[in-house]
Amino acid sequence: MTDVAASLDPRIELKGALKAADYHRIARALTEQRQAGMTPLRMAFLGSYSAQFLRPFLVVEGARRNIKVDVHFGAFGQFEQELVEPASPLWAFEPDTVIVAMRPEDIDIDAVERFHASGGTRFASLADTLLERIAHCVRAARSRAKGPVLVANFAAPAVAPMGPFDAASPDSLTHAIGILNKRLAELLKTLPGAFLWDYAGLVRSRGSERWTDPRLWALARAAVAPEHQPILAAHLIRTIAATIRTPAKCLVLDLDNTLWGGVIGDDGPTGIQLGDDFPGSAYKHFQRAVLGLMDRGILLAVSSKNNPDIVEQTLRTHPEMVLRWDDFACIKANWRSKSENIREIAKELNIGVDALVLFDDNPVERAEVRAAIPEVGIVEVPTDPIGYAAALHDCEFFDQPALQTEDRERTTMYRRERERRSLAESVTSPEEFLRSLEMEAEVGMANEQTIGRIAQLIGKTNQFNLTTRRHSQSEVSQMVHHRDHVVAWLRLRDRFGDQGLIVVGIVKRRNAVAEIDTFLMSCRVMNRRVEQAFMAYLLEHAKALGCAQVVGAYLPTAKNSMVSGFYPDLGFTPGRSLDAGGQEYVLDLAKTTVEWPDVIRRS
Amino acid sequence: MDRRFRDVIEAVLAVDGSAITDTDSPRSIPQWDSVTHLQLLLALEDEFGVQFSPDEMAQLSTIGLIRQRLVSAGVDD
Repeated sequence: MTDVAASLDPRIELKGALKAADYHRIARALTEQRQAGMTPLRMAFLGSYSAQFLRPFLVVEGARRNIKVDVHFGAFGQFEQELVEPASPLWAFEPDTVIVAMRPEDIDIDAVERFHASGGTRFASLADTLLERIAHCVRAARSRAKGPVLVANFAAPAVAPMGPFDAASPDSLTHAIGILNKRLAELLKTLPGAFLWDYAGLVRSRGSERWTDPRLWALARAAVAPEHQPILAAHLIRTIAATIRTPAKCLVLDLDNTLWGGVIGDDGPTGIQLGDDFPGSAYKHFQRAVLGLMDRGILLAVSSKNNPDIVEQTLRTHPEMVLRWDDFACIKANWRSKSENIREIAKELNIGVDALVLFDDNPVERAEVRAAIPEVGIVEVPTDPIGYAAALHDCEFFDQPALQTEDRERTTMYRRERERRSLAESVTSPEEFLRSLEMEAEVGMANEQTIGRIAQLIGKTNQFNLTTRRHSQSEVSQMVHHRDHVVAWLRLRDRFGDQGLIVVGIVKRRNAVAEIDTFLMSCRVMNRRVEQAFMAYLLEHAKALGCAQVVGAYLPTAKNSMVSGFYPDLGFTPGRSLDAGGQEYVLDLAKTTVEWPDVIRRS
Repeated sequence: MDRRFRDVIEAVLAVDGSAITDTDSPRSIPQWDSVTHLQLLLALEDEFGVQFSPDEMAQLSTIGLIRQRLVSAGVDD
C-alpha cells in the first residue's frame, strides 16, 4: 500500500513507481479528503475520443502540483452542443478550465486514412472545419468559464499513408498536419484566454507507434494506451499550471559539483572537471542547458560557499566555461549560508524569493534553503551529473506559455545595471575604468556589407568628425575600389554590449604621403582611446601603402570643436594652415607612431 | 495473489476488498460499469504483468472468471 502523502511529494519521480491501482487509490483518498492550501481546479475535458480513463491520473498529477482537480468528461462527439447549451451537464459542472481535444481522424477518418483518394483536398477542408469549430468552441467556453481554454494540437498518426516516405512529399499528410498545427497556433494567439496544449509534441516524444492501445480503442474509443495515461495527465496538468501560475524569474546555481566537477578551492581552476571528455562533458552539457534558460530571459545567479577571487577568476577565464561571469545577474561567493545569500540575491535583483529556483547538488544545502525559505523553488538534483541537464529541463518552475520580446532582453538589462553599479563603486582611476570596460575592437576594410553603415556615419556625424566631408555612398564605393585609397572601420564591443560599427577613416595615398581624408567616430565611445586604436590601425595601412609621412587636417565647423586638439594629442605636429581656420598636422612614420592602446583588445 | 488481487479491486471499484466474492459482478457492484471494468482489468495487468486479449476483456465479467484467468496465467493463488 502506497503512502498518499509520500506519493504526492513532487520531489519523488513517479514514473514507474506507482501502479495503476495506486493512482486509483490515491485519487480516491484525495477526493474524499479536504485539501487545505491546494488550488481548486474544475476541469472539463471535451474530447473526440473517450478520456474517462484519465481521471485518477489527472487527480494525482494535479495534487503533485498542489492543484485539486475535479474533472468532467464531455460526451464525446456531442460536446459542441453542450458548450452552447447553458443547461447542459457541462455548464452544470461549472468548470474553471476547458480542454478541447479533437483528433482529425475522429472527425473524418477518410480524410486521414485515405488522404490520397482526394489528393489531400478532403483533409484540407477538414483542416478548415477543425479550425472553425475550435474557434467556435473557444469563444463559447470563454463566454462562461473564467479560466483558460486549452486546445490540443494534432498528432500525426503512427502510420502515415506513404509509410516511411510520407515526409518526402511536400503534399503529404505529414506536412498537412504540420501546417494545420501552425495555423492552430496562430489562431489561438488571436483568441484571448486560449492556449495550445502540445498533444502532438507529447505523442512524438513518447512515440506514436504505441500511443494507442488497439484493444482500448476497439472496446472503448480510448485513444491513449494505459502506459501513457499518467504521462499525458502530467503533461496536461503542467500545461494548465503554466497558464495560471507566475513563472520563476531566476535560477540560483551552486558552483562546485554543480557547474563543474570537483572543488575549485581545493582542486584549482585547472583541476576541476569541465570540458569535452567525461565526466567534464556532463557539466558542460548542463551549462549549455542553463544557457538555454538564460536565452529565454531567466536570470542567472550564483550562490556558492567559495573564495570570491577564485570564483571570479574561473568564471572569467576558464577556457571550458560555457557560462561566463557576465551571464550572471548576481554572484554571491562567500561563506555565509545559502538561505542568507538567496535572500540577498532576491533583494539585489528586486524580485520576490518565490521567483527564485535553486539548483544545488548538495542535498544538505537544499534542505537548509527549503527549511529557511519554503517559497524558493528547489530542483531535485540527481546524484549523477549526467542527469543534471534533464533535471533542469523537466523542472516546471520556469514554465511559461509564451515568450515575450522583453524576456529575452531581461538578462542584458539586469546585467548592465549590475555592471554600472559595481563600476561606480569600484573604480578608482580612469585607467582602471577603461580596463574594467573590457573593450574589444574589430577593425577592417570596407566592403559591400559595411558600406551602407559607413555612408550613413559620413552623412550624419557632426561632432567627432575632423573634416566633415559628406561623401555619398557611391563616392565611398569608388574609394573602396581605388587601389591607393583605404576606407576602414572599427567595431567596438564592451562589457555593456555591442556598440556596433562606430569609427570610419579614409586614407588617400599621394606619392609617399598618406592623407587622412576622413576620420570620424560616434560620440558615445569618446574618451575611451578608441580613436587612438583606430589611428594605430590607419597608420599600419599607411605603412603598407609605402608612405613615409601621414597628413591629417582639422577643418573647424560650428559643431566639431571637441576634436580641435585631436592630432596634437596623438603626437602629430602642426603643418600648413588652411582656409577658414583649418590646420594640417603631420606625422613622420620613421620617427613617430601611434600605439594600439592596451586597454582595448584587438580581435 | 489474493491480497493484491483484493487490493486492486478495492482501489478501482471503491468496494471493501475483503468482502468481495467470486460471484460478484457488475450486477452486484453498481460502480462496476464499462469504464471501471476496463480500468480494473488494466490495473490487474499492471499489477500482475499479464495481458488480456480483447475477447477476454469483453468476457471476464465476474470476479471468479477474472481470478481463474489470472491463475491460469500462472499468477500464484
